[in-house]
Amino acid sequence: MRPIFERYAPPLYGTVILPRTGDAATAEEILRDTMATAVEKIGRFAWQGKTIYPWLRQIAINKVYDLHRHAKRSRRLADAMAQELPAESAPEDNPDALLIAQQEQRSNRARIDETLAVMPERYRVAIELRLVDELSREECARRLDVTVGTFDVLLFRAVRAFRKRYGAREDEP
Amino acid sequence: MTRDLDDDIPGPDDEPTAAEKARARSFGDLVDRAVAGRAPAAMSPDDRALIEVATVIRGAAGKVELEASRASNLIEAALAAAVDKDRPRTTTLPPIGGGNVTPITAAPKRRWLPWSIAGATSAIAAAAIAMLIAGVGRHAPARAPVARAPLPEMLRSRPADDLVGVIARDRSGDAATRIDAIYADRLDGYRELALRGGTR
Repeated sequence: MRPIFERYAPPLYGTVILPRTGDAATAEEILRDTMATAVEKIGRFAWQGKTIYPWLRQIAINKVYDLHRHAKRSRRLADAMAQELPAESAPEDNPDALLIAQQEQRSNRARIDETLAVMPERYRVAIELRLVDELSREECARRLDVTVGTFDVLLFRAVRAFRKRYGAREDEP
Repeated sequence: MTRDLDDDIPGPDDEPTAAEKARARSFGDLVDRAVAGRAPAAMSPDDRALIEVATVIRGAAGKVELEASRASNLIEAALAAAVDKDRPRTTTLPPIGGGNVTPITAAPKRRWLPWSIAGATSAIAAAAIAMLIAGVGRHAPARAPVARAPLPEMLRSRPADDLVGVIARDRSGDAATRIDAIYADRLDGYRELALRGGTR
């Protein structure tokens, strides 16, 4: 299964696991466990002439869900994911792993954009410059015409505000 | 800890306090390290909560990728874990009530045997200690100190001083957080080593 993992580990990590955990070390552990479970349960995979990626993705999502549920780190996120599970349990109709990963990337981005859209303009810009465009602090400060220290405060408040609003959004029915 | 994060957030143009400036600068440093792929394992719960948010945003933007070498190590670890799980255990226990176990009451004549062995070995040990104390080996030529190769950096624990830093008087009672930070760092070091195959 090594070639399969080499192909699918990056999209599983980048678009499925990491955006749901936020912690690189935890995401790596879940990816490893996902692959180990896949090897263990490969007998249950029903080949239907389509990619194995949705099956791997489902294992990964279940692992993330278990993590949130057991650690009780984020009840809101766990509940949101529990609602997500039934819809995601039958993804065999999707044609190709790359397309699924791209679709998921767009979906993740849309969720972030929805939250950013309702934040104060300067907070939104601070997050986009620093975390989306990954410009240096100095460059971000220059573009906003503030000192680096002021930009640090702006980003700090912006991420706190994002966290609060993102959580609130997940609470909505 | 994260209660502070849920407090009211000042507006973009509100004047920050000195404490907020310091936290913001510290968070800015953490973001720098996270963007460079060197996020520290040990950080306060508040910092961790914020860095997770930052990572979710970066991940959704496609800015966080798994390095090829890292992916390769994880694949190896997963395959090894799966193989270990499938391997039959070779250790077997004797059947209860079977085998050549003799009830202790059925062999009264040999009860003296373990006691005599224990007595003899104790006597030898006592004699050896007595000879040492008496200085029998005093005139033996002194051995040259054996130079040992230093342990490689990757096998040594990282100094805790850098993690904890100077402990401010008002945070002196917060030992649990410092222990958590050191533990997280040790765990991260172990993970690094395990992924390189160093603990097998």
